[in-house]
Amino acid sequence: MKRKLLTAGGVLLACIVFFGVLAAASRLVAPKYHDALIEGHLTGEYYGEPSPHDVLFVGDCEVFEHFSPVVLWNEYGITSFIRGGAQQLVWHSYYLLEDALKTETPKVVVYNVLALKYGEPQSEAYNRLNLDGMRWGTAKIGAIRAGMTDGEDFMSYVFPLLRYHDRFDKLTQEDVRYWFKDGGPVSFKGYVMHAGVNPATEVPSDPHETQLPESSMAWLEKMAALCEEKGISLVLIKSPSIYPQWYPEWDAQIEAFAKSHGLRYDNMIEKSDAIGIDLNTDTYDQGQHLNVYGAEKLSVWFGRELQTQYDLPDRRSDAALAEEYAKLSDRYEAEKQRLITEDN
Amino acid sequence: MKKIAILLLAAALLFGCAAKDDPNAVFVDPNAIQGGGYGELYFEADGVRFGMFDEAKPVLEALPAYRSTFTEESCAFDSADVSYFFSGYRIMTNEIDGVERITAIVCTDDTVRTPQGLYIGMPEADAAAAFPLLQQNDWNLVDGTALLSVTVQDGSIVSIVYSPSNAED
Repeated sequence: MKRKLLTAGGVLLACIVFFGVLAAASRLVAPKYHDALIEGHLTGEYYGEPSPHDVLFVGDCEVFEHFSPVVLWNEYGITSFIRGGAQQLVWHSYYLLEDALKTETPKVVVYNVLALKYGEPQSEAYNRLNLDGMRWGTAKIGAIRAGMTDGEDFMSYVFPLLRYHDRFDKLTQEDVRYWFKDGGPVSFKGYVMHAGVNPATEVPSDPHETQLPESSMAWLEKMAALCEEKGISLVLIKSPSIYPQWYPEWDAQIEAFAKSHGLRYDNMIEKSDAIGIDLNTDTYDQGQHLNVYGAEKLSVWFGRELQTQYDLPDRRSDAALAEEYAKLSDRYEAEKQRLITEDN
Repeated sequence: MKKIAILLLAAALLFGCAAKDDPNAVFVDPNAIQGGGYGELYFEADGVRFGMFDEAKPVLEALPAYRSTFTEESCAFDSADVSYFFSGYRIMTNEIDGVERITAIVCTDDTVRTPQGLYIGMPEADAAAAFPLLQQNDWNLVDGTALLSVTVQDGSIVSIVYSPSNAED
């Protein structure tokens, strides 16, 4: 009897050691996305949010580099967060939204429509950036299943060691530094700041389909239904960047979709002048993305539109929120100054 | 102890078998990184003949000055497509193993005619008659490292693109 107990205890101990080592190794080799490839850190940053939001942005780089929640707060007292990611495709956005709506119900969800041009999964690398940081639940399972490219397997998301074990000989100081701790946010409520200036010039026009893929439009339909079910106003936007191209046929399709669903749709390329965007000064990569100067102008304009149309409350008198956003604003301004100094 | 070692070994083998490529790695066919492998699917402008994976520098030096350039940034990774705009066409390049190479040639208007005789605006019937293989192959032709893709809409050619035949969609 004693011998059996000892054997059972030994097996249990071996299992604990084995799975402990496995978990530690898994954490070590998984990319940290803190010092490099920071876009992979964005998804997880949402879970550290101390308070709910009146506005949630979802979409690709045209949201996480184009809208500043700090400006929305400072100008209008609007609380917001950007659940955006690099090449975040529409099914990623749908499930990230579904995930967020488990814990909060914003008044407005803003979706940038550029990614609708992709009807099929594009790249494992971007899947990982968008999904590695997502908390486990039905939404993450759905997002993985919807977005896997050929050759990917579900279990490698469950056990990152299966995917990243070949990074053992490529580990960096970042991997060790953030092995057991998170290094804190790399964004400002989902906004990633750039301060460089590289004026827009001629941009390529590529062959394209005249209609957005049915599959991506079906996900947009699901997103609209999800928002309607929760009583949330869905706003569709096309950010004012000029590349990748947003073709008139696609614009007409989204316009028609918005009209048939009673949604607001803003093509901000057409409204650039009214917004005050100048692509000689407000972009850091020839018109593909806005720099902080462009993002701030866009946020001032869009915040006014949102507050007027959706009657969003000015929450600046809320002491707890004011304190939270004051700290964020300080960090934001410090980063802005650092980047401006660096670029000069 | 032996059992634990066997368990660990089994786990190591399991993970080893599940190894996959680095998702950040750029796909490069080692047989396709040298220029000149495009057979008859070359492009020619101002007396300069070039095609897929040719080194960009000598081609750009031989051609008249380009009108402008555009660098398409990846959303997160360090891989940039650079476009050089010329009158009637655009050359796209990528850095492959430290060398800037041509990875696409795109006709941009009806002022250029390809060495194969195609041009934007060419009636579909004329193109089909001149290049039956092209039409039969859904308006795509492959020769070595090059893929010629033609888009036909409303009875005429609306785009002509040369790209690597091994390119991932």
